[in-house]
Amino acid sequence: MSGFRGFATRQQIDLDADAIVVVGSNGHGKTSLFDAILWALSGRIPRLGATEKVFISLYSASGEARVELSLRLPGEGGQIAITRSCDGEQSKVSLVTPDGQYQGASAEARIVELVWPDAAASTDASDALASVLTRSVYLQQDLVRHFVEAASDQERFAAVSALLGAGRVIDLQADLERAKKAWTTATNTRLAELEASRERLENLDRRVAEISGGSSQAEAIPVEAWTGWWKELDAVGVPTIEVEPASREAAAAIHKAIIWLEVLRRSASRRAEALEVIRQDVESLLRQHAPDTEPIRARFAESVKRLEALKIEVREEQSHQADRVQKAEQLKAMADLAIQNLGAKCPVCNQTYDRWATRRRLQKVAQHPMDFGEVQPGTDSRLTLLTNQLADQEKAVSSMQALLTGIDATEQQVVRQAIEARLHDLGVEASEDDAATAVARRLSDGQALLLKIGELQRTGESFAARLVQGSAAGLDELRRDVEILRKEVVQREREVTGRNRAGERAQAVIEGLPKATSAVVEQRLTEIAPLLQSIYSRVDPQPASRAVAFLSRVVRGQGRPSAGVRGPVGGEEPETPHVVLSSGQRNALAVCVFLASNIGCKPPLSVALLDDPLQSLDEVNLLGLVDLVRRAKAVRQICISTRDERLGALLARKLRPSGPTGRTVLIELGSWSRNGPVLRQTSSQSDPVRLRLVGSGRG
Amino acid sequence: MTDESSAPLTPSGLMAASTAILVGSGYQQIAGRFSNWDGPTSRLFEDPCNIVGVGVFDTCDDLLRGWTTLQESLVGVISREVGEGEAKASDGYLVLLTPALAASHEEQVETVRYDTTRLRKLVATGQDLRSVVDVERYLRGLLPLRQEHAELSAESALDMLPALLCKEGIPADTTGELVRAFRAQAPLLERLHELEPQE
Repeated sequence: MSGFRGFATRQQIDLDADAIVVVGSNGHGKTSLFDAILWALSGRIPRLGATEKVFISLYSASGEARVELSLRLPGEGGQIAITRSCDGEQSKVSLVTPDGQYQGASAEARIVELVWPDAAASTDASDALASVLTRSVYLQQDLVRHFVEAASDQERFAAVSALLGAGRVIDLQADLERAKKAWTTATNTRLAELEASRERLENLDRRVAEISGGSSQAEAIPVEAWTGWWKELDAVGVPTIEVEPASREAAAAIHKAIIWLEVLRRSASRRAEALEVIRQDVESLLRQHAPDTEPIRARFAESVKRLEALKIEVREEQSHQADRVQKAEQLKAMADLAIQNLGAKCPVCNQTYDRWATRRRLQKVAQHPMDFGEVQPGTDSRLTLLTNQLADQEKAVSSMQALLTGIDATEQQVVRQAIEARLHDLGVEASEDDAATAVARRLSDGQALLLKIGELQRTGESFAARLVQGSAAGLDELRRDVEILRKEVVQREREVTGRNRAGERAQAVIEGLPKATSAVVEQRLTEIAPLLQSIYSRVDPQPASRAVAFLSRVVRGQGRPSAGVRGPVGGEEPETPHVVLSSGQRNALAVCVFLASNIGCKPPLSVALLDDPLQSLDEVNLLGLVDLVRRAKAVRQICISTRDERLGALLARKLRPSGPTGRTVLIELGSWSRNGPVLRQTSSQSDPVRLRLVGSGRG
Repeated sequence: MTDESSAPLTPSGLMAASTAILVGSGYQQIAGRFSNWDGPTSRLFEDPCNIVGVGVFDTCDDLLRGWTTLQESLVGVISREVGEGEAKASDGYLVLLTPALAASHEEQVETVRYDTTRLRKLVATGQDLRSVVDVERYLRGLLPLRQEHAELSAESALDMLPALLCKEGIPADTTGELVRAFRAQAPLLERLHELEPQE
C-alpha cells in the first residue's frame, strides 16, 4: 500500500501466513494495516465516516491512497487481486481474477459476489459488505465491547442479527414495508378511479332510465340559435367546441359550456363585489380629504371676486384718465388758438380786457392743461395704486389656484395609491385620473356581464333539456356505453380487491417478521452457544463457576439481545457483564463473543483480524486468550496486533507454525516518520520436533 | 463419556476422566519414561502445542502442599527434554485436581491459580468439579478448538423464514415467493399479487 493513512510511501506486507503478528507502538500503523484490508475489500471504513480524503496520508507523494490486496479463494479457486485507490475526488477499483479483469462498478459487484454474495441484495452492497466485515472478521479496538456493554437493545439486536445472517431478514422487512406503502398508494389511486367509474355508471344508468321513460317528441335545436349561442359564448370567453346540435357530443359540449359559464359567473360576481367595496372605500377616502380644503377654496373664491372688482375699478379709472387727457388736449388747443387770436377786444363779448394777464393765463393753460378744468387732483396715483392692487391680487389668486390644484392632485394620488393594488388585481388601470369614475365604469360593465352570463346559461339549459327529450335515437348507443362501463367497473373492482388482498398478505408478513427475526437469532445463538461457552471457558480461569450465555428475547416485537453471565448456581438470570466482571474480564468476554461469531457464523473471509485485543487483561486472562487464539489458528487465518513488544514475542512464539508446512509472520512497525513506519518482517519457525516427550526426546 | 454426576468423584475418577479427555483430543500420554509421572496420581501428556502434567490429590491440603513438587518435576522434564530455544519450552501446563471441597482454602487455591511463574497452573477443587462434564469443561483450554467449534447450519436466515412464518399462519409458498423476489430484487408486492387466484 502507499499513501494510505499512516503509510505514506509504498510498503509491501506479507500476509501469506496462518498467523500474522503485528507489533508496533501507538500511532505506528497497526490499525492502518487492518483498515487497508477493510478498505480494499469494501471501499469503506465506517468508523472513519464517508469522506475518503481522511484515508489519504498527509505525506503521500502522489496525493493518492492506494492499496493492493491479494486473496486466496477457497478450494481450487485461485487468487484474486483487488486494487483500490482514491485521490480525494475520485475513487477507482480494479479486480483481477482467474476468469477475467474488472473495473469500476463491475469490479465492486464481482468482489461482492466472490466475498459476500448475500450483500448483493441490499441497497448498498459495499456498505453491507463493510458492515459484516467489521462485525465478524475485523475486531476493531473497543467496538465489540460496545455490544456487551453500552449499546441500546436495538443496536445490539441489529449487530447480532447482522452477524448471524438475520440482517438479511431485517433488510427484507424494510424493503417490504417500503413496497407495501407504495402499493397502498397505488391501490388508493385505483380505488379513486373505480369510484369515479361507478359514479359515471350511475349517472349513465339514470340517463338511460330518464330517456327510456321520457318523450321522444322534441324540437330540434335550430342551427342559427345554436351557432349564435356559441358565438356569444366565445365573446364572453368560453372556449368553443365545434359540434353539431344533433350529434352525440352535443350534450357533453353543452354541459362543459354551462360549467364554464358558471365559473365565469362566479368570477364576475366576486369581481363585482370587490369593485363595490372599492367604490365605497373611494367615497370614504374622498370624504376624509374634502373638509380640509374648504377654507382655502372659500378664500380663493373671495380673492377671485376681489380681483374682478379691482379689474373693474382699474378700467373705470383708466377711462376717467383718458377723458381727462382728452379734455386737457382740448384746453391746450383752445388756449393756443386764443393766444394766436388775442386782440384789443374779446372776440366773444367785444369788451376790452387785460391782454397781458390774459396772455399769461392762456400760456399757463397751454403749458399745464391738466391743472385746469374739472380734473380731480391725485387721479394718476389712484390708477397706479389700483393697478398695483390688481397685480397683487392676481398673484394671490394664482398662488391659491396652484395650491388647490396641488391638493386635488394629492387627493387623487392618495385615493389611487390606496386602491391601486386592488384595482390592478381586478384589471382596472391605475393610471386613470379619476379612480372613482373608473370603478363605477367597471361596476357597470360587470353587471352587464353577469346579466349576459345568466342569459347564456338559461339558453344552454334549454338546449340541454331539448337534447334529453330528443335523444331516443342515441339510446341504444348509450346502453352499449353503459355495458362497457359496467364491465370496466367489474374489472376495476376485481383488480382493487386483488391488490387489497396482496397488501393484506404483505402486512401479515411484515407483522410476523420481527418475531421470525428474533427466532432466527435465537436459533443461531443456540447453535453457537456451546462454541461461545467453549471459547469463554478457555479464557476464564474459573470456567466451572460461570457460564456465559447469549440471550435473545422479543419484547413488544423488538429483539432484545444481550450477553449475560450466569453465576455458579444454575437457573439464575444472567447478570450484565459490567456488574460482575472487571474491565479486563469484560474485554476478554468481548473478544470471546467476537471469536464465537467469527468461527461459528461462516464469515465472508476465513480470517480473524484482531486489532490490539489484549489490552487491559490480567496475566491469566491474557494467557488464556493467547491460548485460545492459538487454537483458533487451526480454523482461521489469524492476524493480531499488539502495542507491547513482550506480548508480540509471546504471540509470535505461541502462534508459531505447528508443522513444516505452516507459516507465521512477525511484522514489526518501528519508528515512524513522514514516510511511514520502518517495517521489519520475519518468519517464525516451527519446532524442529513436534512431540518432544513422545519417543526418544531431545536426543 | 457417560455423565457420572450421580456418583461422587474420586481422585482416580478424576485422573481417569482427565486421561480420557486429553487422549481423546489428540494428546499422547507419556508413560514409562518419567517415574514421577507414571502413577495413578500424576501423569504426563503431550500434543504438538503443549506439555501437560496432571496431578490429582485426595484433599486440598495435599494439593497445596504437593503442587510445588510436581511443578519442579515437570519443569525438570521440560528443561531436559525440550531445547532451550524452542518455543515449546514455554508451553508447559500443570493441572491440579482434587475432589475435595475447598471452602477454607479458596484463597490459597486462587493464589496457585494466578501464579503464572514457571508454568501455567489450572487448579480445580470439589467446588468446581461435580461431574466428569465439569472436568471436560475445565480442561477445555488445553484442547484443540477444532473438535468443538460448530458452524451454523448452512441454511440461510432467509431460507428459514417460510417455516417460521408458517407458525404465524402465513402460507409457506407466500413467504417463499417473497424471499425469491427479494433475492432477485424483483417487485415484492407484484409477486404477491401474482399469487392471487385469477378468475
